[in-house]
Amino acid sequence: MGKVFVIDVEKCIGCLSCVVACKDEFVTNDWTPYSKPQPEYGAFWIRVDAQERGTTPKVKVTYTPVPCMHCDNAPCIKACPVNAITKRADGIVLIEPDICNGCKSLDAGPLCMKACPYDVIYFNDQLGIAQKCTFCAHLLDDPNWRYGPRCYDACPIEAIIYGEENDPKIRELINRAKTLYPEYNAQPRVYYLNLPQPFITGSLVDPDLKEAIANAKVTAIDLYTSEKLEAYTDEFGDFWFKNLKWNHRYLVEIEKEGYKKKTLGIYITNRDLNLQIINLRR
Amino acid sequence: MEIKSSQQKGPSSNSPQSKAETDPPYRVEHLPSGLGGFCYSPPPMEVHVKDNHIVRILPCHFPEETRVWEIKTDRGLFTRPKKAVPHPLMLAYRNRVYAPTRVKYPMKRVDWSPDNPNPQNRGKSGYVRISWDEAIDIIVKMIKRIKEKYGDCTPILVQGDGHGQSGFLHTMHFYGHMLFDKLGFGWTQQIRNPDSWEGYYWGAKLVWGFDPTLGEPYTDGVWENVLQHGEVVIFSGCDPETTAAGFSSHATHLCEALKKAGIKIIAISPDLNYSEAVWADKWIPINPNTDAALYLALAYVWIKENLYDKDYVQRCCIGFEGFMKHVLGEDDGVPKTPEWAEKITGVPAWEIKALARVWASKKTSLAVVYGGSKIRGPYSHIPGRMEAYALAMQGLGKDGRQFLRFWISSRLNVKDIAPLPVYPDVLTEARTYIPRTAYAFKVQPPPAIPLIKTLVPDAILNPPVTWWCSGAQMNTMQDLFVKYRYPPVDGHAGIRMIWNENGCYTTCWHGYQFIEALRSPKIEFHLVIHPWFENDALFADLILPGLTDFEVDDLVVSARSEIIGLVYHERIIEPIGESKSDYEIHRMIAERLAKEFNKPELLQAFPEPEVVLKEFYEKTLAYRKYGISWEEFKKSKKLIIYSHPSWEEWVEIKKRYGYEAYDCFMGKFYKNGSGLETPSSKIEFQSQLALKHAPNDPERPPIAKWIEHHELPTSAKSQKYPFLLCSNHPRYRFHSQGDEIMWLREAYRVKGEDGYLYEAVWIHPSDAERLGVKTGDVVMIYNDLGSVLAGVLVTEKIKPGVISIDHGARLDPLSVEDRIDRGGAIDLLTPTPSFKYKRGEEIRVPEQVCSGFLVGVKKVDLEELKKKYPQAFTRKMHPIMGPVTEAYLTEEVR
Repeated sequence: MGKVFVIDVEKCIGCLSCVVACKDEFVTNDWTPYSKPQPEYGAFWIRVDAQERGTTPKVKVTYTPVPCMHCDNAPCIKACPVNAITKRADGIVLIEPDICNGCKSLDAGPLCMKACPYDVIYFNDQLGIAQKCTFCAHLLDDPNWRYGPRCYDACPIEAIIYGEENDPKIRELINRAKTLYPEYNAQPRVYYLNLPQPFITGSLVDPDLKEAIANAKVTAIDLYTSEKLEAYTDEFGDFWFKNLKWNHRYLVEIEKEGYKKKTLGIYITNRDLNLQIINLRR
Repeated sequence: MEIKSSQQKGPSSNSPQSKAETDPPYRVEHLPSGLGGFCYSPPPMEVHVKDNHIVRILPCHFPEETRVWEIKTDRGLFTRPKKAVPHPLMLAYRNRVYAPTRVKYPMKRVDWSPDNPNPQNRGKSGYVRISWDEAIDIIVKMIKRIKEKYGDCTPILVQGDGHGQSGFLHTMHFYGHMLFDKLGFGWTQQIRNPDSWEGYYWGAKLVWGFDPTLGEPYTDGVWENVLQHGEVVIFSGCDPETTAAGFSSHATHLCEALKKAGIKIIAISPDLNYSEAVWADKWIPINPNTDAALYLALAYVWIKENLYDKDYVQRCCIGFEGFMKHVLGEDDGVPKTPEWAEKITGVPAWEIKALARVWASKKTSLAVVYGGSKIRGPYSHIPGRMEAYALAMQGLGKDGRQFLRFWISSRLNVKDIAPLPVYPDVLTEARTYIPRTAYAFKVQPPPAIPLIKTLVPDAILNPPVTWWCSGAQMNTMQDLFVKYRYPPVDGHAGIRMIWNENGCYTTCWHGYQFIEALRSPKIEFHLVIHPWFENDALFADLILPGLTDFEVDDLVVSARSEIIGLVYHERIIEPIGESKSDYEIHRMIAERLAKEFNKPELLQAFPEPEVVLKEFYEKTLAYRKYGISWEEFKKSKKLIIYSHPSWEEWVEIKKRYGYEAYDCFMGKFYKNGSGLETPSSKIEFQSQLALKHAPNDPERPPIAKWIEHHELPTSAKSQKYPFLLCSNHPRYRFHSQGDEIMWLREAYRVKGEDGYLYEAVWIHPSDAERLGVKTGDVVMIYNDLGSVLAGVLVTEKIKPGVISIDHGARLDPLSVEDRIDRGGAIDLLTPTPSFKYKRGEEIRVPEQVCSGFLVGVKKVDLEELKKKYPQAFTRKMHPIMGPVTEAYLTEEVR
């Protein structure tokens, strides 16, 4: 049993309300023993990474809110030379501000910051301590508090939700979710829904007629799995293959009655691909 | 999802004492959350306060028993969150309160005196602190001086009309009008133009009327119609996530509803704006302010392919034949083909044809919030009218074919019933009309002399100016052809003193021209009343420190969205420095003027705040419905949020007003074919008013026509200034408000090599390559009026050949003479409407321009600028905030 965040990146609109609410809670407020005040600027205990995908005009933006992952196998805990970082029974990882000494004997800065694969620990120059997201533990522990962590309350669209991992509703979400950088094996307690998978898109045009070509069949064959995907162009001649697999090779072909069949080529999905305007002649 | 909090106490195994389950150790207050001003707020924010310290700011959570609207459709059930939709401008208000740019006490420009105002040093010389007594003395002396010298007070221009904080009484900033009204010697009233609806006001009104809405169709019941029937919604430069946030709160749940209803969202805009990047299914990039050409080409396809609603055009419209001739080129020899439009708009002909067929074959609505380049550019009345024409050709009002407005104001845009389910008595009686707000929307009778806001620089620099239409937002369309003049008569002294309560003309539009006007020897005294030392305040002779909603006791009247309510709050903290509210400041001045001029009636305009609040409260539905006395309401600080009707109740309510469950106002019009406010009561392709008053006006003829003007990508001017500029309502400000929010500045601004945080300009990778710039570089954006600096953000979200920079960034001039600004205040570069006319010619459309004009872009050498303008680079700076108030506190005359 323990607390988790589930963040749906497909919902996030990048408004930064969570970022601002987090600062509102922690800047100038001393929540010792949970946390000491955050500096007035420069620290982002939750940040929002924006990822621009595709090229003009086939562009999407995916926003990813990134708080501390409260890892079950937290590299920061292992790295701390003074055992200032603890994991509570409910999974929340806290840097105890009265124990942390900012690794001041080392020139290199706090070791936890270096150990963290998610880059979510910040050094407070004025206080000489490392700081990060506390899951608003000071609020969750307060029996009078009804609104959850501040980032959750601040989200206009419930892109960030939180709860107990053994709650069936949360469990169902976790089953569909992924974590960031699972290869680090840090076992994060922050789960993500709808993390972006690559797309291949393009527009079919008849350059002689100056017309978009609708209802053309476009196929994408995954050369690794032989899976054959089909899409049809819409009224604008646009086709989309969404949620493809990263770093696979896809052979893309077009068929439309009255036009010559066209093989567009083999594309590697190491990024989102806009094949731009594809001219098809009769 | 509400999840119970953990039973665990304390942060670790050595847990601290758990807090007792008692009242929270802080005071809870509800404050106005928006920056729209005019007495009304979006749903409030909840503020926790302890010992003069703001503990935290939350979105207001509605009382448990509150019911919020539901729309039941065949596609599912739609609703909204049971709390204020949070947005960062609300949650970061603490930054505004404690900003290092606050004005803490009255400040006077060092080299200003009544006899020697040194106007040429405005924007250059420093400021010294003075006492309130001294400050009020100066003001009273200057009013007397103006009156004695010029015979009355009409040479005093009162600028008090713009947005601002949203407290009911104290922070509203247009009390100057009340003061001069009671003083009785006249004044010049700056009339606020319809700044975010320009094209609808100056153009579309002639087509379809809708006077009270500033020229957009009534939105009665429109959302359920679109959610039930719609197939496509076009976001026409519409950015609901951004534009609505500071005014009526985020429109996220409405965007989500459209998606949930299975509606395809097509974005037509120069930039893939913030909402579109997340919600749109398709983006059609278009050159800024060329939408009129697109609409003409769509009409061409519809006519040629027989794809428009002929029955509707016949039944509900007049004058279509003339428009058809223009589309086909029978009047000017230019058929408005998709190929013709491609050259202007940059949208490929094949895509225009595809769009035309989609629009015709699918139930398509057009969505707006405010703004978008098409509606705030040069000649915006043309796209405004063309858009109305296009909607009419596709049967505007038919199920799923609507004009959809994301600003869900409860009152302003409706005829009978609300755009979302709201009880009729709540809609009409929960708030009463507040006469003092009239100054922002209406022309006042004499002795106030009207001067449209867009022509203020011209009225000072090149009088006389004559123009058509007061520009007042709440006028009727007849006013579009009424002539005005400033000064009103020959021999009048013109503007000699400025009473500036807005503080942001320079960041609104025509900034460099306004600065030139402010530095004119004609201006003897420039008074600014504002909480922050920014923008117009840099050119003040005297600055009075206003304050924030956190520093006063006031009412919150929630009425900017479908959430209507009322609550009283006490001050959160003591006023910063010697700051006072706008109301208190004017009250103090009124007291002194009353003695000086022996006019005790002046005080009647400014009763004790308590008296004003009580009087308002006792007229509200809350008082009548719940019978809570003012004293009790005040003491209990009861949060009143009116519940919405259930869907079933709403359907019954609609029936009473003659609407079926999914009907809307335009649906009624679709059925009846009449009932608009136009002379013919129909949609007028040929405006009967224009035909009567200005049949030969080449700019705005009875039937809108395409004009090849000087700010188009096809113009000769584009050789010199090759980029079209798109300037939107800002994502992380509300116009110029909120640029003092440190937590947003640090998150979105672009850090230059010199460490300064520059306002971001979006540049397409192909243009960046041509210009030799990359993200983080600093560029100069320039035209004939001057230049501003900005930090490059290379992005695919902008059409090649277009750059985008949000308006409203805080001024930080490197040199006033050289017209170069480091702050990135792009509206310094926008031209006044007089540019379109010959000197002395009547200004027939005194529009505002703030997007869709030509500029040049080049990389700058910061080291060189540093050498050239050393003082500007060595001002006292906050690392995030840029220049702070102390930077200007100096005896220096620069």
